[in-house]
This record gives sequence, structure tokens and C-alpha cells, in this order.
Amino acid sequence: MYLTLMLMALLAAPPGEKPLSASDWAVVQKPEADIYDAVVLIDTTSFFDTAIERFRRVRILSESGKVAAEFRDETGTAKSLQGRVVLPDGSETRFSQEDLVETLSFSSRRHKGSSRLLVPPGLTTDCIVELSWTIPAQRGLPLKASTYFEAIAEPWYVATKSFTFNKIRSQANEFLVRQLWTTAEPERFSVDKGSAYTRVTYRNFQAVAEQPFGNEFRHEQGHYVYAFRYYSDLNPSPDKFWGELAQKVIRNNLTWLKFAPGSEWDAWVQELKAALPADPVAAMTMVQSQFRRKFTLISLASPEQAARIMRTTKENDIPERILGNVVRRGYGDYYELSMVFFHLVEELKLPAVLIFPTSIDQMPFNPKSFDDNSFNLYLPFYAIYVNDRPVVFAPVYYEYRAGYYPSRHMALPALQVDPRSWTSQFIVLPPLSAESNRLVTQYRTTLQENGEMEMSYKRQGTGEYLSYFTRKHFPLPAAERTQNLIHAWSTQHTTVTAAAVEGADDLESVVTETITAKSRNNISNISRLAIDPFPHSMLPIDLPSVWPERREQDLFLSFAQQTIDLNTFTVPEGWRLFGENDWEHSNQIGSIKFKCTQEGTKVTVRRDFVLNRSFYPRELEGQLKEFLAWMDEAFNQTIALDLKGGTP
Amino acid sequence: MKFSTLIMFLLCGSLFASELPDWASQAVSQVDVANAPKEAGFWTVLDRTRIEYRGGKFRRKRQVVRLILQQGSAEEAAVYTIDGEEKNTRIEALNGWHRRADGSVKKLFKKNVMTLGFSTSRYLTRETTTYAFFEQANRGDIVAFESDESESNLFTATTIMLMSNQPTAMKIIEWQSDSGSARVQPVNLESWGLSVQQSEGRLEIRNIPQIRDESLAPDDSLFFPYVNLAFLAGDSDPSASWDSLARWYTGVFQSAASSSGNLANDKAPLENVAQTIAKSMTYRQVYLEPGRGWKPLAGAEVERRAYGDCKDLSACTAYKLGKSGVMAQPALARIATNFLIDATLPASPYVFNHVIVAIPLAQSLGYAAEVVHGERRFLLYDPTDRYTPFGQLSHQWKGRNLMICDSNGALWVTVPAGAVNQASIQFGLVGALDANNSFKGKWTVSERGDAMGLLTVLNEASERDMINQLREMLSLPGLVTLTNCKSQVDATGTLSLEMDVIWPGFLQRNAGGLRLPTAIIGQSLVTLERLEERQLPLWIDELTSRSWHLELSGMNGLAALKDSWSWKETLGEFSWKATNGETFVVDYQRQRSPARYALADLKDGLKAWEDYGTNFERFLVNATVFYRN
Repeated sequence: MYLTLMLMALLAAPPGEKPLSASDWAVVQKPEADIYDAVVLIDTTSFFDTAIERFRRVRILSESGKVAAEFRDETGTAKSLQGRVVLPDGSETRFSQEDLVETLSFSSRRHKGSSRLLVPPGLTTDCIVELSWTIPAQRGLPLKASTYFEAIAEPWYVATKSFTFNKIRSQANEFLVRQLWTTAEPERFSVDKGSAYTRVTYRNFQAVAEQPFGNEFRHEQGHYVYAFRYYSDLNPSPDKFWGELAQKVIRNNLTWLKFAPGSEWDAWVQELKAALPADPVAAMTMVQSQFRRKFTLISLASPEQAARIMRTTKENDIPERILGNVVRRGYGDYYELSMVFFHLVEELKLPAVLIFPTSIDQMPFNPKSFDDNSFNLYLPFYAIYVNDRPVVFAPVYYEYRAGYYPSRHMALPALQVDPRSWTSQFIVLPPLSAESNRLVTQYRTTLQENGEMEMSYKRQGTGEYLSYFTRKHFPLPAAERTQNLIHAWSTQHTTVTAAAVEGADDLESVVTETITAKSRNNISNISRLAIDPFPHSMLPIDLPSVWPERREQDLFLSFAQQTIDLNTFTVPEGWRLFGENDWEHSNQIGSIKFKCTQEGTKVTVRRDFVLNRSFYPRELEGQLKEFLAWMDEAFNQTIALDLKGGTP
Repeated sequence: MKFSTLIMFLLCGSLFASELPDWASQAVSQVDVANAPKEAGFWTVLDRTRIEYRGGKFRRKRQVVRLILQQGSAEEAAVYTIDGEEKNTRIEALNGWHRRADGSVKKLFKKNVMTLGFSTSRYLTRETTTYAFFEQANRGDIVAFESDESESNLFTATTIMLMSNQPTAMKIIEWQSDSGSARVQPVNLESWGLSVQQSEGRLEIRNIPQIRDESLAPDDSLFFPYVNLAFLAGDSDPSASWDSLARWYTGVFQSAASSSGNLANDKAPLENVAQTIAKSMTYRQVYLEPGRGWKPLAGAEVERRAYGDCKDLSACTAYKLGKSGVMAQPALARIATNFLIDATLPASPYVFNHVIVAIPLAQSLGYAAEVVHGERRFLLYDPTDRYTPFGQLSHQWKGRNLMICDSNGALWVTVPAGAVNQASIQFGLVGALDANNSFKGKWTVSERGDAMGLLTVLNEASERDMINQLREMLSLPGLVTLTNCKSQVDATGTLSLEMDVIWPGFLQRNAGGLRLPTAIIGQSLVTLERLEERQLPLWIDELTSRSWHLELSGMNGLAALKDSWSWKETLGEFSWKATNGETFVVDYQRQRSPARYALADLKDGLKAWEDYGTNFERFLVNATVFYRN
């Protein structure tokens, strides 16, 4: 039996060095088929008990394509590297492990890592390169790794890529191997199953190009092979697995540290209990707020809080003391505070459920995969249900106010766990509207006949914008906040006369930035003055110039939002707003409006920008480009004033 | 013992200390904290470097004390770095102290030291940086670090930069060697208003200002004050003079090139070798062994690998020329910055960052890139530049000086103006606007001298990538579609493109009218600081000559305020000519010459830049914005 298994495994082994065929050399650049620079002719990966064997054959077609033949081993574990560069005339340059350049990648107290690089010798712009190497493994996955991820598509066209999973001989702690793909098109791959192996072969994958507002995991070329170790004591059925995960794993994660905070904590909890509003959302809001006042998050501390933090690393080594120390000292990191908050909610018996979100910057979550790597099982959000809709709290994300949480988790699946019964279910986290993330900037400008100008500016935000202002200002003393504002505004033409940041001393208030500045316009010999009505306004979305012809990925923007800019000018008598300035446009992505009015010496300019959502299907790429062009226009539009008695 | 392990062993002792070391406390006591430099994030109250040179090795002992003035700079202040090389640098000792505002003192802990390597496939190196850092440092805290490093160096010389992005109250440089003598050359101190107190084996400089982040600032460290320190082994020491450096490098280079030959008197072998190099070699920076920054790999090995950096490709060129019976010499240069080196600088190997080939000629072969030194004539050839026609140099060589290395010494030459492949770019846009101000038509591009890097991308990648490069260089909106691209490169290296373009929103609302796209007319200019706040001289870069010819129909009565607009001033030339009519025709040309304004001339520089900006803004409103008649 063992011999049979070995034989089967050998049959499934990588092809190794096979003679090159005429068809290999026939591969050339074909812009009409989107084939450029290089083509991966063959790529095989074979998983064995103690090794993962790799083989690649790459056709190089241009100078840029040479990089497709380079080899980089970040872990420094690759063995038996060998290969050759073959030229069209049949001549070849062989290389081996000795050609690898090993350099230090990092070293610290406990770890040292080296990085190994190979630039194959003899590379030209018209050649074929073969490489084979081995990665040491333990029960079929790389040593010390709990996952294995390999994208099928590459920056170059991939003709054939196959993965062979050979049966693991050791059944103890067997890991499960799952192949996941975002779009299951049967013609894109074939599965060959033997008694001792399973081989999945993918064919003809277009090169993946970086796509503006894309996401590497969510596009039609986004097939990948993902393998991970598995909880062998959990029942691998969709009905049972996630429930058992909550019962056995999550519960343990949040409660394994002994929580003996002492009498001061008990008194504080009693105080909270006494003041707790009846409405659960109000109660949770109050608890989150009080928790943040009592406990400092080390990575987002005010200068006064930071001065009190005196942490020694050794404390991390005594787990049973951690939570007691956190309570005693009043500060901690995300994980410590998350566990303390869990105990607080438990003691107050708040009707909150735990929410473990997935994130847009990770692989899409698939509940049938039984893979819990999509979740951080130590950092839950909390939710209170109101009319069957969850109001979400992110207690240890201190920059987010009650009811807000990072946009990267929105509109995505989340695992909800009831900590009273430790039962679980899947939900989709509700997205917040554009109005939730609002930035309002108000300007007042007074223009003098001699071109001098005095301007005031006041900016406030909610949601993501408020969290941005909190991160920016909360850790700094007041003097530094204003100094930074002054520095950002002062130029050859502009003198800041006053600056202030209000509301940044706590994590509850609305933060307001204000500036008063004087500047001058050189209006000698001119009769028409063009002015930027909204100086220092932030472009809400980047403006990429390069968009690949084929859109393969859906469109992911940072967050739905609304920005309003309003400037009220007082101009000298006789100065007139000139020309056609007003316009508005909207499509499915959002809307933009630019409007100017003049009444006597008052000129009012207002710009409204609304991004409806943070996610759009790829079919709306044209609309997004259109929307960005409007944004570009609106954020660069000046207004013109005809000066008194002037002619153009 | 391995490099990183060694560091760990050296870090020992208790985590807590009762006080800062005496040298740090003393340094703090000597400054007036109430008069700390304004706006500085932290203040280096002591930066002492003691350099010992024994047995051909440098030993560098450093002591740094920093006073944290601003919370926003606390993290930066709490990090101490040591640059080195994996096999070439040893950290013999490393200590740190962090005194908090409450008076408690914490010592550097092992876990707060790490070393990172920087190798990539394009930059193969053993260079490392070791970081020692304190967590939770705050405004009002003091951090002090002390290190002891030993290093083997190819040269007996070293350079110490004096300025950083934070001010320094006291900089001390001390030196000692087993030979007893050292040559010390402070450079650029006077122009920065710095005075030096020098005594035997010691140099002291007080109140060094910070380098602030300012626009249009000098882009080269050689502009700033520094100290050259050399422990010369005699007149033949490579660091002793340009001549000795040239003689030494001639030997180093020739042993790698392993070739000899005669003066060239025929174009064919030269062009054959250049063609082979351009076709078969890939540029990769390689610094894997001590001295590899200077010593090329053997020419035959470079040929086998088919990749290398400037010195490798130059040595390989010399090797291959040698096989054709032609000799070649190295020529050292400094590129990629706007600083122009010359023979009047204090001799130092560190002013060079590039090497190319100088091919001695028996007589002129008619190439533009020929230079003459005395009775001798050379052809300059840069083997890392694959796309400039052979016999010329790329635009970046304009006005630069090189040191040709010869067994008799240094031969300084200047790249002749005619040797440079002039860079310029011309655009043509012919077509019609529709009622929505979308443009549809033909777009032509003519690029000389790889002005926008289009030629390089076309050669190294594809037409698609070249179009993407064009889009990025002009910040073309994503909505613009470019199709049916046809490209052609002629013998002079001029790239011609023609393509169909659809440009929605070609005219955008601005200043009460409709304006041509920013991609065509250019962005508004950067605004600078006021004179009293400006610390750095003004270095205004060249703007490569760029011209547009537009023929637009369908303007429907839109017209510019001005038919023509031009100016010529210190910083450059500008011209615009528009003809209203059924077809609206525009010819627009812009270029800017490089300009340097030293600190003493800053007022004039700021005025020149302001005038330039005002001229440009007025042009934008009066010429590029269209209004209905």
C-alpha cells in the first residue's frame, strides 16, 4: 500500500526538466490577446508531507518581462534551487543554489530572517527560463505556517498552473486543504483525482494589472489556492462548525485570562450600573464613553495620558496578571482593552452581542470553508439591536464614536455571537450612509480694493472624517495642533493671523479646525481676478490616470461621504461675479454641484460632493471615471470677479 | 559570531537606571532649554563622533543626546540608527537611556533593537540599518544613545554630514589614528554661517540649524556642510588627491576588465560592442561584498550573468572592447542630482556616484560625445543608457564634469553642449468638440531625447505601457481614451506617436468660462515661503521644452480673451498664439531654464519665482479660458 502511495505521489510529481517544444518558442507578445512581457508556460506545485515542490517554465519576451524569471525567497527556506536560461539557438546558462544571493532581511532579539534572491544569469529579452525548488513542509504546509496562499493569475499571462495535493500519510492533526475561487467557471480549471492525490489545473489566465480602486481578492481573475490548518476537534459541517467555534474557541479566547480586577473596579462598575440608562443603545454608548475615559489606549493617547504610560515588556510574559495590571494602571493595547471591555459588558449585563467582522482587504469570507482566519477572534465589535437592525460599537477603536466603526468592514459578512448562550449566526454589517461621513468647511472672505484679502475657515466632520481629525489632533498638545495648521497654511502670499483646534482634547467632542488668514492678490494692471474659492480643500478621492482596458475587479472606494464647502465673499462695491459658474451632475456613483450667487457685495459659492457608497460593481467603471472627471473639475474650478470699471 | 547575534550579546545590563550617564547630563546642562530652536521637533544637544583608524579599520564611537520638544516628533527622536553592511560592520556596543519628564530613567532593552536589510532584485545589497528605539517617548523627555561600531573600508577617508532635519546644539568630531596624522577638510561651513573651533584631533561646531522641508530646495548633500576626514597612507593613497584616486581606480578597473588595447580609430568595433551591451545586459545595482561599490566584477562574469551596475557594465564594455583590440578607461561622475562637481572640490571618492567608459581615440571619429584633454581625445559612452544613440549622451549629462581615470592621474573634462541628446516634446491635437465639450480627434507626439521616458518604456516594455507612461506624465483623466496607437523611432532616437483620442470634458468650467485641460497647459506653480521664513537656497529645476499645436473645430463661438500671450524672463520662455475662427488654432510653447539662488540672493529668487507664477496665472485666465462672444 505504501509503495502504491509512493508511486502515485511520484506520478503526481512536478514534470521537472522536459525538453522545450516548438510551441514554447512560438509564444510571442500579442497585444490583441493582452499578452505582454512574459508568459508563464508551466507552473506546478506539489504538496507532500515534508516538502512542497515547485517548478516553473517562463517565456521571456521583453526587458520588463525579465522580472518574471526572478526568484525571491522571503523565508530563506527554499532548497535545491536549480534551473537554466535557454536561448532560441539552444544555448543555455545553468544556475543553481550557488547563484542565490542571500542577504539579511531582519534580525531582532529572538528572530533572524534572511532573504534570498536570484536574478537568473544570462537572461535576455528572448529566452525561456526554468526553475525548480523545494520548500520544507510539515504535514503538507510550509514549516511553521498555518495557511498557504497562491494566486493563480500573475502580472504575466499564465498558460498552465497546477496544484497537486498528495495524501498526507500522517493522519494525526490532519489539515484540510480547500481550493477556493471567487468565480467558479468550470472551463478555467480541471480536477484530476486519484486515490492518493488531487490535482487542480488552471489554464489560460490573463495577466493581472493593477486596477484603480481594485481589490486583489475580488476580481474575475482572482482565483487562488488557499490551504489552511483546521480545528480537528470541531465538527466540519455547516450546521455545527461555527456554533462549536463560538462555544469552544471564541469563548476561550475572551475568557481565558483570569480577571481579578479588585475593589476599585467593582466600585466603578457599581457606579456605572447605577447610572445606566434604560435604553440599551444609550446604555452602551455611555459605557463605551466611560470606558474610554477610564482606560487609555496606548496607541491613541493624549500627551497627558502618554506621559503616564510606563509599560515594560516583561509584563506580557505573565498572562494571568495582564488584565489586573491593565485595570490598575488604566491603559492597555487593543487586545488587553478588548478583554477588559468584554468583562465590563458581561458584568453590566448589557444586551449586546459580539460581532466579528470580515474586512474588504482580506479574502472574501466563505462560511463553507470552515476557515476562521477571516476573523480576529480577540477583537469583537458589539451590537445592540433596534428594530431588527444592529447598532454597531467598536469599543477599542477609540477614534470612532458610538455607532461608528471602520468602513472597511461595512456591507460584509460578520459572525455574530451571543455571549450568553455562545451561539452564533452570520449577518451582514449595515453600511453607513454618505451623510454619516460628512465634512463641512465654511469660509468667509473679505476682499479689498487693493487686492488684499482676509479669510476665515472652519472645518468639522463626522464619521470617518471625525475619526481622521481625532487621530490627527488628539495625540498632540494644543500648541502643536495649531502650529501644524499654521505651517500648512503659511506661504509667500498668506499670513495666518489666528489658528485653533477645538474639541480635540477628548474622544467625545466634535473637532473643529479654524484659521484666520490674510493674503494678497496682485491686481495691478488686471481687470479680472480669478480666485480659488476653497483653498486647502481635500480631494476626496485620488485621481488615477491609468486604467487597464479590461475591468476585472469591482470598484472599492474608501467610504461613502458627503462634503460641503461654502464660501461667503464680501467684495468691494462694483466688483461683479463673472461668467457661467453653476452646474450640477449626478449618476449612480454620486452627485456634484457647484453654485455661485451674488447679491450686492455678497458673493456666495457652494460646492456639494456626495459619494453614495463605497462599493460598486465593475460595470459602473465608466460612471466612476465620469464622476471623477466632475470631481476634478469642481475641485479646480476658480471663480472670476470683474473689478470695478475694469475691462478684460 | 554573526552580526546580529553579536548585537544582542552586547546589549546587557539592567533595564532601569537611576540617572542618565554623566556625558549626557552634562550636555543637557549646557543648553538653555528655554531658548530651544523654534519649531524644532527635537534638539540634538550633543552629537559626538569619535573616529579611530587603526590597522586599516575605522572604529566609530558616537554619543547622541536629544531633547524632545514636540510630541509629534517624539517617535522620531526616540529612534537611533546605525548604517552598516552585513559582513563589513560590527556593532561592538550599543546603549541607550530614556529619561522621562517625571525623572525616571529607562535603559535600552534588547527587544528594542532590530536590524533590517534592503536587498531587492533591482538593488542587490548587504547594506543594513540597525534601529534602536524607545517606546512611549514624550515631549519633555530626553533620550541618549551611545554606540561603538567597527568597519572595514576601501578608503582611508570618510565624510561626516553636519546637518539633519533637526537642529544640533553641539557637534563634536574627534579623531585618532595609529599613523598619527589626519587630513581634515570642513566644506561649505562658511556659506551656512557655521564656525568651527578646531584643535588637535578635535573639531567643534555649535548651533547647527535644521534642514527644513522647503520646496525647490537643493537636492544634493554636497550642497550642505560636511567634513572630509582622511587618514592618508601617503601621496599614493586613493583619497589623497584626484590624481591618486584616478590612478588607483585605473588599476582596479583594468583588473576587472582584464583587457588592453590600442587607441580606437574605427567606429565599427565600438558600435558593435555598444549594440551587444544594449541588447544583452540588464542594469541591476549589486553591492554584495565590501568594496563592491567601487570594484567591478570581472568582465567575463558580467557577460555570463548578463546583468550588473554601472561599474560592471563599464568593465564588461572595456573587456569586450579589449577583445576587439580597443582600450577603454573609466570616467567617474555624479548624476541624478543638480549638483555639478568639478576639480575644485576637495578630493574625495564620495563625490562620485556613477562611472561610464571613456574610449581613447586615435583621431576624431565624428561623434558628438568626444572630449579633448590636452593632446588626448576620448569618446564618452554610458553603457547603462541603452537608448541614446551611440556617440551621444542623454540629456541628464548637460553641463556635467567627469574625471577620466588614467594611469597618469585625473583628466577632468566637461560634457560638450553638442554631445547631449537634447530633450524636448511636441504634441499635436487636431479634432472637433461636441456640444458637451468632448473632444474627438488625432493626437500626435514627438519626443526627443527620451524627454518623458516614453522611449525607454517603449523599448523595455510595450506600446501599452508607453501610453500609460504618457497618461501618468500628463495626469490625463481616466475618461480619456487613446486607441489605434502607432509608434515609430527614427535613427536619431526621436519617438513619434499617433493615436485617436476621445476626451470627454475637454473644456472645464473655470474663471467663469471654459478652460483647456490642465494636462495641456500645466498645473499652477508651487507657492513658496516668505523670505523671513525661508531657510534654504532656491534651486529651480529645468522644465523640458514642451509645445502644443491644437486645431479645434466646433468651438461654437468660444474664444480666448487674448490672441497671443508671451513672455521671456530669467526663468524661461513662454508663448501662446491663438487664432479664432471656424477652426481654433493654438500654438503654445513653454520651457524653463534651471536657476540657482544662493542664500544671499534669496530675495531675488523669491521675486523671480513670484513673477513667474503671476505671469503664469494671468496667462491661465486670459489666454486658456474661453468665453462666448
